[in-house]
Amino acid sequence: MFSTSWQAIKKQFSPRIHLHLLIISILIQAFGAICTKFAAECDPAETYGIIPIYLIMYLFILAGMGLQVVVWQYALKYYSLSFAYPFRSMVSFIVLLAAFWLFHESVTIMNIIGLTVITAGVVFLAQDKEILA
Amino acid sequence: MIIFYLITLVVIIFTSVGHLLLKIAANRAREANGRVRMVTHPVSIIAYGIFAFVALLSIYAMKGLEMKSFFALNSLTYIVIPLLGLLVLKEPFSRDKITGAVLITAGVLLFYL
Repeated sequence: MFSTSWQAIKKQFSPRIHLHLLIISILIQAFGAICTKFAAECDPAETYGIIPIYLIMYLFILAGMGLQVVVWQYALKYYSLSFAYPFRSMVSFIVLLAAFWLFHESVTIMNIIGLTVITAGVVFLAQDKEILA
Repeated sequence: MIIFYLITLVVIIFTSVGHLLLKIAANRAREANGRVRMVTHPVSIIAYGIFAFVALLSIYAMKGLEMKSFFALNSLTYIVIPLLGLLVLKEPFSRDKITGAVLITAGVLLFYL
């Protein structure tokens, strides 16, 4: 009885839980992108204690890359590549927003149209199951 | 300025080669019927090393490029990876891939207009 109810609850909520894996994966990727830009912008002589800031950022980037690969692999257990892969190009939109807010880069309408067309291209690529992930 | 675009080009090529190596490692692990682990396969280790190097190169590229431009250009890896798959692994380049590649190239060009 309890087992059946638990299975029903799990079935009800599991798609959303798995979708979180994809969202976490792209957020980690965007975090890595932002850390990369911070590392590029910081003064090489700037340190935290004796450790250079850019080195700390680099370690954050590597940790993010490792974590992102694990989360992405878990996400692929529940979603087809054709559904999951276009999510990766969502990172570009998050990066565009971060570029605007954090680094005061200009954002034009052509930037948004360009990224939308790129995402459409990724959707087509993801139709092919042999795409490399 | 051109040097930062060249570094970005190297980032795109190395990232694509890294993904290709991961695919080769996955294929070899599958052929070995579980006797070889994909994640610890020497080819995978080389790929991880390449990705770490790519992260370092990306920092240098972004010293001269806007973050949004760097990541828009990076979308070209979506094209280079299937192209390497065609050249090295003889994977088919389907009509969907061609359409996707054309759209991505158009998107990158539109981004810079």
